[in-house]
Amino acid sequence: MEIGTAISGAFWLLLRGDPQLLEVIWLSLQVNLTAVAISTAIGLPVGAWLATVRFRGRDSIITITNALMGLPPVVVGLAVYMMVSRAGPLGVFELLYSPMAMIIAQCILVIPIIIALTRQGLERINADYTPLFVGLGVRAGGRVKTLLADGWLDVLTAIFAGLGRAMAEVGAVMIVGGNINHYTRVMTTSITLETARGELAYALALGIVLLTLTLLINGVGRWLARTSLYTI
Amino acid sequence: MHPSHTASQVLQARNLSLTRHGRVLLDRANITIPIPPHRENKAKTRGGIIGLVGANGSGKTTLISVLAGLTQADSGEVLLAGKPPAPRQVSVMLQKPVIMRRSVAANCVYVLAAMGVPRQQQHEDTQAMLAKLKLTHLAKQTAHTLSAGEAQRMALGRCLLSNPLVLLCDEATSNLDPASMHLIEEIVSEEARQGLAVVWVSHNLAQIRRMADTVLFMERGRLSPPQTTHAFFANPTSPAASNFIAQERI
Repeated sequence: MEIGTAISGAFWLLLRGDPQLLEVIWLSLQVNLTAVAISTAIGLPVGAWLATVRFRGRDSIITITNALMGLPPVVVGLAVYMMVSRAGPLGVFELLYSPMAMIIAQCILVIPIIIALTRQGLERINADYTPLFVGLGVRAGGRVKTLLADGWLDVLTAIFAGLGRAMAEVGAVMIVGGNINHYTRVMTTSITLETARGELAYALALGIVLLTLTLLINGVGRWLARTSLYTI
Repeated sequence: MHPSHTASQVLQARNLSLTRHGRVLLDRANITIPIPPHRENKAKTRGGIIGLVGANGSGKTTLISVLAGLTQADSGEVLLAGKPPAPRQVSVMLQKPVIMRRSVAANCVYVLAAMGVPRQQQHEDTQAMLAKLKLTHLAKQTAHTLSAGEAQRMALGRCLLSNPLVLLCDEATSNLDPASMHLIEEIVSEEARQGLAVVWVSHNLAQIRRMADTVLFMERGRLSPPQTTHAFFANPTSPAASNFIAQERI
């Protein structure tokens, strides 16, 4: 297929709102947003806690978390596959080749990103605020609350980075989701499949959506950073 | 009124020693800061301003940091009325002020909220303090956009709102223009007249002459015995202090 034909075909698919295309986009959003929401619920408090407390072994935890940010998705996919497959410890729940398995894999990839970036951002603010906290006798819970309120931009950056990772993920979700039509087929796995099948227009249409969403997320992040006045 | 304000208290640091990376920062430093009784009774009390001077690296900032509870000394103790100071009894104003990512008013409100002051009172106290600091017109402005002088005034306001017994000022006016410097000097002196005990660290000897009642000279982590400001400049107790004062004339 010519490139020109593929591009025009992609835009035609998007313009006419191809039902299969919309279904894949919708499932992608569901899986990615759920994974990021769960990861945020876990990663945010852990990151904020690491930013404010000092204890033996903290540096090791930070080093491990930072290292986990670069986890190879296929390795995560393989690990989750072994966990949720029939013979695995979670086999009884029959999660293999389901959106839930994809969400678990995404969470494993996204949680370290949210923990590390939240910790990094809030630790800087905590260092600035420490004389105030000490002088006023603000306890750990109050510190975390203050840092999350004042460091919301850093928190948002961490969440967006996690969402970016989830959106671009293909290896892990392919292994544990199985790329089943109408059930676990998301944008990235669909692009891989359609490209292999020579359906470039379809793959390109999904690529355009994926790229637009990624640009949109980053654009919103930049806009918030630029317009933020740090006021309450 | 701070719940722990009682008569004739003293903030006392005894034998503070601190070594970091082989360098002696504090060497058995002793300091006694008298706190006037009944700080709220303006007619009867007067706080004192202790000027703390010394060359760069002599340990002044380290001492302030230990007194404020920001740094732990290797040995020695800091006591207020025989006990470690409670939160808000000692407040510190640093050369680089803490600026919260909030509006100027919200920076002040934060202190009052941490103290459990009722919301309506928070607003009234903040407005009064901002008026005193000539910051009313900037109340809603984000604190990060303030000039150095405005930010330091806001930091002073936050310190005063916590109603401390002792205010530690570490080169608080060193980067400020004369107008901001004089305004801060004026407010701190006024608070001292009303019973606030102040430790004022500065390299500006003219400022020490203007503000301090007594002077402590610090050299290589050790403090000289206190002298009245007049006596310090007329008859410094050590050659190092003499040399330090002589620099003023260069």
